This record gives sequence, C-alpha cells and structure tokens, in this order.
Amino acid sequence: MTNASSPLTAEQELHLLESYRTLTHLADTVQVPAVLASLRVCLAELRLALDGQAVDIEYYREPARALVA
Amino acid sequence: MDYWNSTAETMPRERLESWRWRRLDRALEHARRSSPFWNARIPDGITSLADYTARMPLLYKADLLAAEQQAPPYGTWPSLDPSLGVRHHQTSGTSGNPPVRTFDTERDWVWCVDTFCTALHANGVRPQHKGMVCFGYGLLAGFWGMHYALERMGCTVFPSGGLDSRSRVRLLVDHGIEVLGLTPSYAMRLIETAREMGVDLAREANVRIILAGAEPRSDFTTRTIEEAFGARVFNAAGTTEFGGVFMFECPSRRGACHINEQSCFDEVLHPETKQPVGYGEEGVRVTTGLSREGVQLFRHWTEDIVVRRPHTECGCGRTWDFYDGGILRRVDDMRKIRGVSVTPVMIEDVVRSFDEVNEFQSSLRTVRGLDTVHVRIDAGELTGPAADALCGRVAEEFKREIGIRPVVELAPAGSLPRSQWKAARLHDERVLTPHG
Repeated sequence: MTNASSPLTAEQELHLLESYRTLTHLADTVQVPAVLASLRVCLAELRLALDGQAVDIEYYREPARALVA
Repeated sequence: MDYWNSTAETMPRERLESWRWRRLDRALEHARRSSPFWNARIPDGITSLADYTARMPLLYKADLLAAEQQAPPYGTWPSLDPSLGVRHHQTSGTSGNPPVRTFDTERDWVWCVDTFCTALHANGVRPQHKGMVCFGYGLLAGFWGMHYALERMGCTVFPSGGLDSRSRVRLLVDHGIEVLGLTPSYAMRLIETAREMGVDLAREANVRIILAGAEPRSDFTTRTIEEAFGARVFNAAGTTEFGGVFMFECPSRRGACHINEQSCFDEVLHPETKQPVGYGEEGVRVTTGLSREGVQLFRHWTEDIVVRRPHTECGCGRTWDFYDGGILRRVDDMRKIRGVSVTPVMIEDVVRSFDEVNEFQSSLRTVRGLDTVHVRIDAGELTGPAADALCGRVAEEFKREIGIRPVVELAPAGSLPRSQWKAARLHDERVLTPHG
C-alpha cells in the first residue's frame, strides 16, 4: 500500500523500467488489436507510475509514434 | 501520514523545483515542436523557471477561443493529432463565450484520473469504500475523473448520472455509501430532498467523505453540508483547460488546498500589475500544466483569486504549497453596489446562515437610478407573519454584514431553480450608464 516510509526500491524501479521498455517494443510490433489495446493502456499506466517516482523516461511521444502507443 | 504517491508529494522543495523545471523544459519542447499555436508564442532558449515566468506571455481565455476559431473544433492549440483523443470534453459556455473544447489521449486520461486519486486518497478514501458521483456524465469534464479514480482505487462506484435526487437519497441510505462527489449547490439540494422524504442523512445514511468541488462556497454552506450528512466536506478543483485536479483540501488543516505541484507550476499575480504577490496575499492564479501531452497549457490566466501559503504551515508532510480556502472567488465575480464590493459568496454567507432558507436567488437592479440588491428566498411552507419576519431578519443581517440593505422577498416553495452543477445565484440586471 501507499506509505511515506515505503518508496520503490532500486530493484523495483529497474524492473518497472524494463517492463516499460518491453511493452514499448511489443506495442511497436504486435498487430493483434486486442493485445495492442491492452498494451496501450498498460504503457499509459506504467508511464504514469514511473513519472510519479520522478524516474526519467521518454516523456512526450513523437507525433508519428503516437498512433502506436 | 499516508500518501497516494509519497515520492512526488513529499519531495524536498529544492529537488521538486529542479524536477519541475526538467518537466517544464520537456513540455515546452513538445509544444514548440508539435503545436502551431504554442510554437508562435514560446520564446527561444528559456533556461529556467525564473526565465520562463519573465519571458513567456500570459495566456487569456480570449487567446484560446481565437485559436479555436482559426481551426475548429480544437483550433491550433493541440500538440498532438486530435484523432489520438480517447475522450472529448468541453465547457458549458454558460458565460456567453463559446465553449472551450479539449480532448484527452489515453496517457492524458490516466494522468487526469490519477490527480483525482491523489485528492481522494488524501481525503481518506480507501479500497472497498462505496462511492457515488452525482453529476450529469455529459460533455463537461466535471466528475468523470472521480468516477474512474474510485474504480482505480478499488472502490465500488455508483454512477448516478440519470437518477433524480430522491433516487440518489435512497441509494445513499440503502447501500451505506461512504464517499460522495458533487457540487456544494447540489449537496444543498440533496439535503432539501432528504428532508422532504423524511430522511435524516446523518443518522440513516453512511456518508463519511464528501468531495464538493467546482464552485466557491461559503463557510456556512460547508458547515450545513457537514452537519446534515455527518460527514467531512473536502474542497477540490480542476478545469477543462488544465485537464485534471490542480488542488485538493488536506485533512490536516481545514481550508488548506494543496496545489498538485507534480502536475502544475502555479504563480499568483497581482490582478492589475500582473507582478508576483507574496505568500498570504490575494492574487490571480496563473497555471502551467506539466503532464498533459495532447492539449497543453502555459501561463494560463485563470481569473481565480487565491491566497497561497507555504507547505510548512500545513503540517501533513507534503511539500506542496497550498491555497488557503481554495478559490476564493473569480476576478469577474466582484460587483460594486453604491461603492460597496459584493460577491456571490458574500451573499451566500448571509442567506445560508438562516436554517429556514432552502434556496435563494439574488439580483442587482436599477430602481429609479439607484443600484439595489434583490434577494428571493424559498423558505418551504413558511408563510404569513413568520415569513415576513424571516425576510426582515435576512435584510437586517445583510445590512449588518455587507453594508447594504437589500429588498428580500419570499418565493413560492420549490419555485427557485436547483442546480446539479454550478449554481448561478447572482444576476446583474442593472441598466448600464456611460459611467458604468
């Protein structure tokens, strides 16, 4: 649960970043509409989670990539 | 103390400032690259937050409306193709202006919902609570975000969009709903309806947390709502232009509405000189969004009058500054009556102090060349001498508190408009002269 005394550990942060990269890669390649829709939502959620932890990630999308995820 | 996101909410101030500058820098780059409107407005080579406030021009509502008209419906304002939007929202346009239209991408919407989660968690909402959102579920952004925030937090949501007030009261009682989202005006309406139904909300319902947003309210209104429901009322506010909740009231200090400084960079400027005012001084809120990708906002002159105070005066542990009392009023709310400044909240403060008043409307009129205040009150079934006496007491209190004696009349029970959204209870019907 959320608590002032339990921020993300370095290991948890790393796993989240790796997950984000994996999902981004999948979103670039997957063509199944149902899976792509899930990936889009997952990426939006994960990006927000990482941003809330002040983790530097790709912040704004290139307009050309935006249609993908 | 428990936070929705401790990293962002308790970040040391110095680190917060540097983080926000990095976010702003990226937001400016995205806007310059992708939006014709912003590309034309953003100065080259902004190097810091201070440089930004010194050189970036203020954005007025008229600028947004002009941009919309250039290329309807969204104008030249967006920073991404509107076809990427998963939601469309627009303002009501009740002020006489055309509506401001915006859209949210998937990412924008997830962020918007998270700003509601931040507020609701701070107010004590937890998984397995039951929540009801009372609003029309239409084009207004309104409480849409609260609905999805409750879901996201693991609560059970009762979407009461199509229900009338009596059905909502029944739902509250039958299901023991703990969390309620509505406007203060509509909370007053629910209280009146419950009384008509013979329901004692404080005893028979189970509401504990009320998020009452979207309009300024008087202290009397807040107290009346809290007593009637036996619940704590929390203030919160967001705008369609900003796209999320920018402030929420903290349980640690009544009236302390923390600015969501992860998502926005707010300044408070003098209404006329447009220079920054200090902590504790009234000024206009000027906001910059740091999170949205589809429709961005830089130095928006909101017309909200606020008083900012440092986070250290709250004591909850958040490092986000707060607006004392939330949005106090709008710049254009103030009216001068025979040299006396009057706002809708001042009138509400007086009229709501009388328990017998269910609803009211006020208007400013010109009578034989003189500005006068007229107040119509709905006191239910009260008639005859008792009603006359009430009108006299309201007029007397008005004179004592505000300095003007109004004309107070009784309106038939149930005849005055009730609002599910923002109520308009002050109408300026004066004849304008060349001297104003």
